[in-house]
Amino acid sequence: MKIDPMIYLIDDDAAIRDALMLLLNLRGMNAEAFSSAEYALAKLNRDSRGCVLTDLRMPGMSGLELLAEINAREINLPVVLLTAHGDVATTRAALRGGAFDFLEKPIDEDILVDVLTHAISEDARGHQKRLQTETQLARINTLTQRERQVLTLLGRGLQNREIAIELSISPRTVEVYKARMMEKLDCSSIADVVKMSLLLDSLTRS
Amino acid sequence: MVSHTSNTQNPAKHVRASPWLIALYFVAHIALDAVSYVQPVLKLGITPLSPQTGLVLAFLYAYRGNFGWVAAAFLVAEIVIRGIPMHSWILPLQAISITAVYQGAAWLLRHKIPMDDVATLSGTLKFIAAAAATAITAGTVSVGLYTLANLIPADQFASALARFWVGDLNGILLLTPLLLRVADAPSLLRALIAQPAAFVGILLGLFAAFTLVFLVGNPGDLRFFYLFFVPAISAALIWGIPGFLMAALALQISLVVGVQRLTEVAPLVDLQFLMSTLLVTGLALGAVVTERENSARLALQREKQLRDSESNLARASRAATTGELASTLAHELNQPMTALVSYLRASEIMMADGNRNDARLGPTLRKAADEALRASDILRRLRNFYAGRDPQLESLDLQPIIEKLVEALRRSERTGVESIVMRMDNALPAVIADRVFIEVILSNLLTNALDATAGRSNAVIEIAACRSGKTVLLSVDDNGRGMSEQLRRDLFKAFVTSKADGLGVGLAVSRSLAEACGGELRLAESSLGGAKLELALPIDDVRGELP
Repeated sequence: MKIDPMIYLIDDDAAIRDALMLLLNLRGMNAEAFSSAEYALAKLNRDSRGCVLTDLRMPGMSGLELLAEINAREINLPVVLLTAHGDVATTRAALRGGAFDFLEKPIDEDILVDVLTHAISEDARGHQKRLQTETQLARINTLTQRERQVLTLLGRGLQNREIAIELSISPRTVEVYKARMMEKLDCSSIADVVKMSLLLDSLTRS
Repeated sequence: MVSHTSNTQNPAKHVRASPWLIALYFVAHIALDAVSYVQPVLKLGITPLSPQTGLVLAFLYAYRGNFGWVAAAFLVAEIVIRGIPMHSWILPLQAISITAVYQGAAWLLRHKIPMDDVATLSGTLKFIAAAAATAITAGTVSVGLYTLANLIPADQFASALARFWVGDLNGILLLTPLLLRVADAPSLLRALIAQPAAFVGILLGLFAAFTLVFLVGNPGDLRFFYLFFVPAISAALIWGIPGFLMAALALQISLVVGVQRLTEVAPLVDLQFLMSTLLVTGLALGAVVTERENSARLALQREKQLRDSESNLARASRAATTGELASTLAHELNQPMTALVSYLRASEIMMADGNRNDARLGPTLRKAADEALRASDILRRLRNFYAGRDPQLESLDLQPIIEKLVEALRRSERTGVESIVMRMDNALPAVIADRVFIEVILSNLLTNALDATAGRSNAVIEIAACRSGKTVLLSVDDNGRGMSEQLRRDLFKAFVTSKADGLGVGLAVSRSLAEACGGELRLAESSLGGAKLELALPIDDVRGELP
């Protein structure tokens, strides 16, 4: 199911919400406004697509706290922070906390749209990548014990003959496992195989 | 409440009396002696009433170098009033020695018991003691001389001395403080008028006592004398020492008048002893009242000073925390700005679409205007924050304000202060403005100039003030780095600054403050090569048009 990217706008100031919503809609962007971080969190989940545009200084949960909470819940949305009179300390904290970008009020609309567009495509790319990884992991899970071993050893750069000795099977049999494994993983080259083995490594390590 | 000569005028000026004043003293001395020449001892100047002694002491206390005149007055009074040219050797001697006693008493008062102290209980008691000592010394000398000259039988020495003593004492206690307080008369008068009921009551009381003592029953019945205490002490309790002295004066006059009405030899000397008691009591009580009033007023003054300095302190600390407040204010101001900019951009997009009938356009523009108003409201609050209140317009002389501010900068040892020069027109007319607002504006302009010229060895900052039509132009010019075209255009906008650590509200606030005073703050052409800002303030038409 494809979800349209959405801009989650969070600001305690009603006029700013109203004005930015109008502006974003006019620029053809989907946006939803929240008056507090708490309300936004109630709505956000791991399937949310798009980006978060939040004020930094708000009563209740602040923009930085929201950013931390989004990371903790693995919501995986880029967060753009809005601030008045940005100071270095806050900016650094925000970027270290994984903020996508930092905008100073009053906002130049072109820059805003530019940043938001980037954030959305970044989110889409990230989402795509995550989907791909998930698919690949699912494929790895279909491998048999022998096929996994062959994948791992191929990843280490061993030749069929060496793998045969290592596993005490015939090189011919290795060929068969390799062919079946590559088919299951949808690999067409040895380079793909190496990538998959790295993925398997990271999977077994974690 | 009666105010007294303040301590700043202490010690009393000790000057020479003018010839007119000396003549006045001379006449008054003889006149007082003449009217009080009642019931003398053997036609000598020994009466139970000598108001001239109070005059003499006050005269010697206030003016220096009058020994000869006072001695002459004593001598002439003796000859004119009592007509005793015989014993010529004793009269000058007596006049000179009695003058010497009073000269000594005047010296003692000047150096040990200044008359300003006769507003406190301890000062008053010391004064009473000094008066008693003076009178007894003068009496001993005087009566002693008469006795030596066989003008008084030796066995009458004591009673004559008592008579002399009480007369001199009463004269001093009553007239010396009264005469030295003549400057306070207007404030005493105001205080009397402020309590008309009490004033009338005391007059009635005096009259009633006078009637009982001298007009009805057994005239001269001393038992009734105590009735005089009621109005006299009341006056002391209500108006302090000055009020009591007025009542006592009225009482003393009525005693003299009353005694002269009596056909029999009335005991004025006895009355005078009672009068002494009354004077001492009244003075002491009055001193307590006056002291309390003065300390209450002093406390009030201190409190006011404290309040003033507290509000100055509050202003100073507000300025000090401006940095902290900067981000709060910036946040607050940026909210409407953000909304405003967004609404305007949205409107622009709606119009660019060619879709001018977009129903949202009108409301969006109105919302934009609302946000602009919200921003200006915040700026107004910022102005009030700086000044803490609405403008209080008053007639002001700019020169002392400028000098005070520059002096404060000098004291703060800010670098570059030495480059400040002032060029003021002579006879600069007064302006109508709020003092605090002007100080904030000027301090902003000077700070900017100091920042702009910082690090320059040849820095010059010129504060000038001159009249221009109906206004006074106050300008701050410098030879600093000046301003870019962009900055010149945006100069008065909030949060526009060329300083790395600046907030950019100084000139915006200053302009708002200037406008609140009915003035104008604008950029002018610098003649020094840096930046020049000019504050135009309306002239005070009432005061300023005078030559």
